[in-house]
Amino acid sequence: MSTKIKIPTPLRRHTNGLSTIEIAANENVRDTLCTLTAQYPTIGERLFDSRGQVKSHINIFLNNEDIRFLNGLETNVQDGDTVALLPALAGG
Amino acid sequence: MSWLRGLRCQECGASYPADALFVCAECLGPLEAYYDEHARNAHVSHKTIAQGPRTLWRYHDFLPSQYTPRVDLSDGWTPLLHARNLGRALGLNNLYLKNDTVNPTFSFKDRVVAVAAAKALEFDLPALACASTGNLAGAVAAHAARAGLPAYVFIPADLEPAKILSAAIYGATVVAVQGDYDQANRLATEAAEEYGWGFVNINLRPYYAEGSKTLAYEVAEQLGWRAPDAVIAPVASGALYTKINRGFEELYAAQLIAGPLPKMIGAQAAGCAPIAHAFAQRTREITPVQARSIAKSLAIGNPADGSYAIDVARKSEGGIFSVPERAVAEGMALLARTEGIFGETAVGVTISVLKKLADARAFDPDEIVVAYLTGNGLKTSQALEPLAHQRIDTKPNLEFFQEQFEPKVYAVA
Repeated sequence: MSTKIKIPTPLRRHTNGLSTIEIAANENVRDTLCTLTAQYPTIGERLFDSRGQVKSHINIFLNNEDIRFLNGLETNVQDGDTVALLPALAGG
Repeated sequence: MSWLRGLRCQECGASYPADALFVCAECLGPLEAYYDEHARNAHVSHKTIAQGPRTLWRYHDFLPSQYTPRVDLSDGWTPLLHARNLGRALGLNNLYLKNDTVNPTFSFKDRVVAVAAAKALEFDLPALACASTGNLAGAVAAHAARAGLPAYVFIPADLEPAKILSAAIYGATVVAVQGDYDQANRLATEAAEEYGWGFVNINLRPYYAEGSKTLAYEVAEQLGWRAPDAVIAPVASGALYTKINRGFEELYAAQLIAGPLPKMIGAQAAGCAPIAHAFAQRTREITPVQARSIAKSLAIGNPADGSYAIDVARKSEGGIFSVPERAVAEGMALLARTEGIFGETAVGVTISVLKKLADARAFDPDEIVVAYLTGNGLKTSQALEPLAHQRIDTKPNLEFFQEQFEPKVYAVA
């Protein structure tokens, strides 16, 4: 019963260099990220602003789907799901 | 020489050396190039620029990379045309068209790729790559071919066939992603972490984006070193729009043009208008949308520079506006029929927003207004299929032809 979290290169110095972190399954994306920041405290302020919102230039995907098109941080997470954190960059 | 001094985070201001970096390690904010502006502005003049080549490299003092013959396709320095016919139709006496449809791969993307590709060679990267809505793919593929490097282009699988062909012909590996642009972009961002390639709009993005500033420099120089009163450009990620504004600001700071700086007007199509929507709602928070627009080159639902574009629109007293999807083809046809330029769907969006504002008398009739025509229509011709063709089918027989034919009489201007 676990969830994989993919960490982008610029944040890996906060995860001892790990690119993927496996944690025990949580109910939703918010709890998943809380578990991550409990294990790796310095990553928290990189992900969330002072109001506890995800910073606007960070995108979070649950199994390839942007969570803003799902239920945001409250999106349910199933066993075996992958949460990917990526910097927001566009420009076609 | 380059006046580039490094990269700086647009969010928190942290600075970094000028490497293949694109994201702030402190806050994940986007990085952008910064220069020794004081020394550069003391050096640069109308004369130093006039001595340069008739390409975008005449502005190398304002760019983060150097002219590199191995990757040069003679990009930029495209025509600025006085649009008398379209101007008359819109009630604008001083309407000008910046015709970037005549770049080497037929879009403004040659500008950004020229700058990024030169940087990729400087960094000795083994390949060029990008995520693209089409025009960028072609520009990357062509410049990679010129440089003798492999190219990998990530595109949404439903892209116009002409855009896919115009990347594949140069030998690029086309990665057709089953999804929209935002999904192709996400895959490319992950791939950029795995491979050491030069992704022009990912790990070379701070350099790449600077190339769009040349659209401002050229217009100012072609107008006799002055700023227009207003400019209008299409908006997808917001990078082009914000960098055109930056270009005018830099010329002003270097005392190469006088103020005031132009009102910046941005154009989106209703099927993907998250920035126009935010502007109308008076917020700089962009709510991402799932893009569904015929203007595929503008179909970025999650625009990375959206908030910065809103800032520019407000500060310059311009705005970002949208038009209905049906206006896209109408704008393409209006431009083609009045001025003889076949622009792509993004151009149709730009012309239609211009018409909407002109019809609402948003401009003084004598204001100098510049519309940026960013890409060629032949790559997006399928958008025009709903338009009726003016066509006569005839046997090879003059009498038969004359029975079908009604001559047109145009008023002479």
